[in-house]
Amino acid sequence: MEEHFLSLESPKFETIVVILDASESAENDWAMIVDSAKKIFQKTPAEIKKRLFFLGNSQEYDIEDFEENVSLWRKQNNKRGSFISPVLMTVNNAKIVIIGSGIIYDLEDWADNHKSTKILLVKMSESMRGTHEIGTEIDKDSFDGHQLANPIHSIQIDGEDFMPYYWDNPDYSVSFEGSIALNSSNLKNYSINIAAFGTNIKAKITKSEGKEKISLTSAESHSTDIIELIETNGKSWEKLSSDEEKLFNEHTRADVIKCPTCGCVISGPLRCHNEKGSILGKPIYNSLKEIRGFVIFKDLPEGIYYKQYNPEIIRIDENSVAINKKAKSVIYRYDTNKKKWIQYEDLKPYYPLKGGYYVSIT
Amino acid sequence: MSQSPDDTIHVITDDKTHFPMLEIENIGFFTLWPITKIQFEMYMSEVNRLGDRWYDEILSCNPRVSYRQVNKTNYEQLFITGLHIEEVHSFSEWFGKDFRIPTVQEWREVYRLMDNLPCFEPPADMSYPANQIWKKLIKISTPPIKFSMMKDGVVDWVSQGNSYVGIGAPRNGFYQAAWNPLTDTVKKIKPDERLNYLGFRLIREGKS
Repeated sequence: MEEHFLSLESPKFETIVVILDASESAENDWAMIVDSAKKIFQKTPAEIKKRLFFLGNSQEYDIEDFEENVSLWRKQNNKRGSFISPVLMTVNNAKIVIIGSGIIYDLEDWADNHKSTKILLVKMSESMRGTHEIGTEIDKDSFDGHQLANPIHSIQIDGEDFMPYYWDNPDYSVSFEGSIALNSSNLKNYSINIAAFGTNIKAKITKSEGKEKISLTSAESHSTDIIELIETNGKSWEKLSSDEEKLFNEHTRADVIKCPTCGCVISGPLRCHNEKGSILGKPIYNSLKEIRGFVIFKDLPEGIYYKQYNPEIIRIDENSVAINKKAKSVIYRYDTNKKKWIQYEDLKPYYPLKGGYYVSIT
Repeated sequence: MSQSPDDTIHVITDDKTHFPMLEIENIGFFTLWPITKIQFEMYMSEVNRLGDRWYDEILSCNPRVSYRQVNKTNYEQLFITGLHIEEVHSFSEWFGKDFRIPTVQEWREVYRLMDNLPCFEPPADMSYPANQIWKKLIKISTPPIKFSMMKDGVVDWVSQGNSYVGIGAPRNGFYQAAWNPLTDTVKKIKPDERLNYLGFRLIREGKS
């Protein structure tokens, strides 16, 4: 099974390049062009970078000086002609908004270029693209500066045989419907680091307008080793009390694990269900009463340490994981013949990872 | 720089627009093709003098075709035509120091040279549009005399003494005329007329 450590950086807002048509073909619409530009500058969130250009001119203008200088800038660009090439040769990785009127003569030259898919033409009166289906052209009446932000609604990360076993953004949750995926929605920060089994792992990003699919960045310097992941992430280790340490040692040596209070057999979470007044059962370790989900024990000569493992899935060997399913944890193994993850058995308490590390569910 | 098997001609690119230009021994530098609309648009954008209305008038006699859509029936639309001689002079000043339209003799000398040349190799530093145009035109007309548009192209402005005339041999599908560029020149009858077949190329004497 392939294993990867992958990163997704919270997709940044795209830069917006605003290109104004100060040419003769847009003369009668100049006042509206200025108004529409102001709409963009005022309504798009401040964290979105905005750049200002004029048709036919590769020089960038300072938006801060827009109000006082726009009339002068118009004169500086009035006779250049309606050409987009000087600007498109200058800008990259941006949403491009052209506000104007009348044919842009060289627009068709860019039809096969990826930049053309990011062009929004805001038409004041005459079409700027004529009969050519290049970019998107909308009428001034249906244009609102808000449309340009195009915020992310949700992200879903999945892939072939995908099975994540570590992720550092707790706002992502696992879904098991159909295929396994990590999902998030309406977040401020979508950044995430993942350790996972699988191939062709991608993030499907749903925005207000449209969807896109991107590959995650491989972080080869990060290890996918579960012990390293446990050691380098999450909270610091806490030590069990001496009574708890004794209980831990008894349990890890016994064939059958029993509650120290009532003697009932414990086969799943480290809880006793014979205690009255507790629906979930009482933790058999008092130190673990605040922990829900996976707990890792580390057996050292100086004592027994524990820490919570936050993700809902943990890797337990080279082709198996344990998944936390409410009151129990279930082992899944990858079946190479069926080429899918198969439910195997419940995770027993103190499942040995390696090197004196154990995993249980509380 | 790409070298022709005939060592008297090299194909290089001009400094301003990075379109192909011939470096010809004992003649100088000669734009391989008539000046294209794309090159002229660079000039228009830079000088901020002509504007959309002027360009609409130019395009009304020979519409613009994108290099994406060029074929053997419309390739002449790649080239800027219909200019008055003063407009050509302004462009040549912008294009580079000492560039001018060629004389009749210079044009014919290059024409004769072209007739016997093997195919050109594209220079490595051509601009993206120049490269695209090269790829299209080489499929339409491979022999240098045609590829350079000296034959089956547009008519070029040339100087003759103190006056200016046209020279060239357009294909019949573009403009019907039986002009022999080695013997005939074309005179504009109405000075203000914009002739859709009249383009231009530029020359600069000397070495690089």
